[in-house]
Amino acid sequence: MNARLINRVLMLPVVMVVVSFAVFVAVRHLPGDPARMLAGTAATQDTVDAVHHSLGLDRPALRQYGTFMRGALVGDLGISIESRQPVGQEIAHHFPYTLLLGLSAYALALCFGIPGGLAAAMFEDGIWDRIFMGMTIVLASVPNFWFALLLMELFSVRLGLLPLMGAHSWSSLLMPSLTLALMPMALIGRMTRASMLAVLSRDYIRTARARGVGLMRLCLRHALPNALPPVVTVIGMNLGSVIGGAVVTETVFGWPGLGHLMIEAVRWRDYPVIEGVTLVAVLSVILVNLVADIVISRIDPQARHS
Amino acid sequence: MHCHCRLPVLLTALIACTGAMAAPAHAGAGAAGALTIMQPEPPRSMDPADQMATDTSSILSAMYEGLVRADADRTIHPLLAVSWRHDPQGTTWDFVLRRNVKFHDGHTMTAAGVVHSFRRLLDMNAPLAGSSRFRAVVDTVTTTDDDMTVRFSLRRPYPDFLLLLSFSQACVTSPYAGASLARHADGTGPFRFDEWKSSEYVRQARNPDYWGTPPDLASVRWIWSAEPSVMDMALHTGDTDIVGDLPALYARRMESDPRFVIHDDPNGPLYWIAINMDRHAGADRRIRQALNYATDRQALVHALLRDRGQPARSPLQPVSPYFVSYAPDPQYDPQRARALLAEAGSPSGITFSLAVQDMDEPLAEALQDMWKKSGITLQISRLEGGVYASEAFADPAQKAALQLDGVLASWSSGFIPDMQLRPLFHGASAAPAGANLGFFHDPGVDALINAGAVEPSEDKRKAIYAQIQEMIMHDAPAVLIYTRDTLVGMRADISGLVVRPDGALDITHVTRNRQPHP
Repeated sequence: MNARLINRVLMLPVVMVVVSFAVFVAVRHLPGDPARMLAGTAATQDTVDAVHHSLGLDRPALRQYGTFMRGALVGDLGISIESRQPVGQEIAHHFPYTLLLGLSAYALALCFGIPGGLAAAMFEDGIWDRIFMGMTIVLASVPNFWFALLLMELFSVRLGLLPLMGAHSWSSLLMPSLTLALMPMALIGRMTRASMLAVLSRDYIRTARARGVGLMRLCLRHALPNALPPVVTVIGMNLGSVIGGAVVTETVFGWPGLGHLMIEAVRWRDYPVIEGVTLVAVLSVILVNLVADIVISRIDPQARHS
Repeated sequence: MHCHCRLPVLLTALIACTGAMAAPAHAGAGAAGALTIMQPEPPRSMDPADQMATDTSSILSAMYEGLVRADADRTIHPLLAVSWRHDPQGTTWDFVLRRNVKFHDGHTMTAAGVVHSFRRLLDMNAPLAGSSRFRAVVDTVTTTDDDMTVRFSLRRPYPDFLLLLSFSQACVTSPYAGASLARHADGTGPFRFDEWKSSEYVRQARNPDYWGTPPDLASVRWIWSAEPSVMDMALHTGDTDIVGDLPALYARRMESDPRFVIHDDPNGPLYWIAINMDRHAGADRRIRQALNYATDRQALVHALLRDRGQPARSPLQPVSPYFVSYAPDPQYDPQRARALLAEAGSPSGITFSLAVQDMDEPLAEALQDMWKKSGITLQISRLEGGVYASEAFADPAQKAALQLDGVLASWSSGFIPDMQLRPLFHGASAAPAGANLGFFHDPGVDALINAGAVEPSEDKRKAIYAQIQEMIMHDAPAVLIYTRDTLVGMRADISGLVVRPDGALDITHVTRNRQPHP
């Protein structure tokens, strides 16, 4: 197990180089020109060309990539075309907001998903199980965007309880977190239920039950630890789509995170920012999955004993 | 268990990083002397010359000033210049500067400083995004013997030079600002720059050293959201006091609510379809006319703009003093459109492919439905902004490869006719060089556009521009659709807002009547 983890850590730089190259090529093949986006439709072509040149975009692509990689190796991700700020600084400003939003969304998702899924599995085919299964389907299918507007209309416009947008106070975090939590909530809930049902049908559970272990203790002490590893895997795997969801959620709520930064960067074709944010997002997904593996190796009784 | 203690450490670090959030609720909209304004777009730069965006110009207009300013009716007033004169040819202009004007950094404005500010626009080694219009007209900017006079030498006479100087891009910046100008505004305006929090807000405070009448407001905060329903909600919740560029649908709902007022500025953008003259459909004038007859402009203005706009009757906006209306021609006449198509050899109708920016899709869909009645099948390709810009500005060969018959576009600098007719209809502006997106080329029109730009006599200019409008309407290189009013939603206690001719909001004289909201 440890050898596999070390192997994955060692592979990390290779993965990052491959990803950086893919992102570099993809971004530069996006239709649209940063110089045109900067100068606007009223600009004459000579201005657009001059801006293009001053941004260094007319240099051979491989040389541009070389400059980008040399910088990236020492942590310099270049200068944003739009803000003229170092990309690293832009990311450092926005990243904590996304991290905070992501963590609170996952916290909500876990608080609802695991007990909900557990209860659904314990009372399979009961009323709660049916409500729960229906609810998770709805949660997973509701578009983030629409749900966000619904929350805003209800809690800010009608009830005046929560700030509509921005990041002025901790209460600003509530609606965006809830919006972002929908998808992982549904996923974690369903995964917990399915995994619990699989574990509950195993022989050792039957044995424990025969020994007279109570239902509560049976589920929490005997079944849950064995049911959690797949749930942790799903959390790690789902991070990518949560980051994707953050783009929409942050934009609607004016939450100043990476998703917000990314959507503006794509809109104006701010190549260095798109590349920088993508690298950070990819690195996050890889690291979180690595952490998920380590966590599984700690909590999974079978892995622990092997 | 040792691994469990890391989470609090992480959370503490996070809280430290997002420290601003721990601060008590900010004094936002509604506080005394404070104003919050929401616009669709975030600012692109704090350097007025390095941007071409109306929303950015609005933010900057509170902090920067030009040599002159223009009213909505094109009247010119002194601002940083107190007087000016030009030679008989109209190519050398001298501006006498106002004395005792201080930049926000404390330095006094001098002729040398103003020259430095304008030379930035002419410098092609460090090209600024908003320099095109200026560079096309101005050759050199110099000081004179008098240390309060600035001299402009123009490439050619340009009767609208004063209007050009009223644009945001021609605002005077401090010579001491340097590269920091992109993030930190430094001008002479009634408000000085306070803070720009990326993806959040720009804050400005009253300039205590302002040379003119100090503004009523103590501080201004600019926020943004691209989502119209969020803009609407923000006005209702009080998160903002003013919403710039409100969609007509929301304005309609707000009209009957006493808490709000709508400021309706008729000087909005013109929408049109540039017909690709290099493709089969565009090459035949009868087909181009058919497209025009197939378009019910009044119905579009009613349905999409809720009557907050006007059907296009000319390639100039109705607010332009050179505007000549050719109403009622072309009228909506699907029978005539069909007849013209039959005459052009397509009795069973034609297919027309149109590139449309995502936000203009409703207009394209309305046209699709409307044109069907005349036998025209409209194929819409809905494009994201950057993709749209690259396809719209594609050259004839690329447009042929994309099979594009037309581009739906909008334009909003109609108050200088040369800045509308030249980029859109002059042969030399054919894409990609300029915004003549359909490659219209008429040597007669080109000659008239060139003549109109340098003609000093107002009467002769009027005659020239009338002739150009007639020639363009006759040749129909475009389906001119409508001009959309710029709508600004405000809380009812706000007054004094001005929408400048370039579309930027001017909040210098905004006052709040401190009545509690009903």
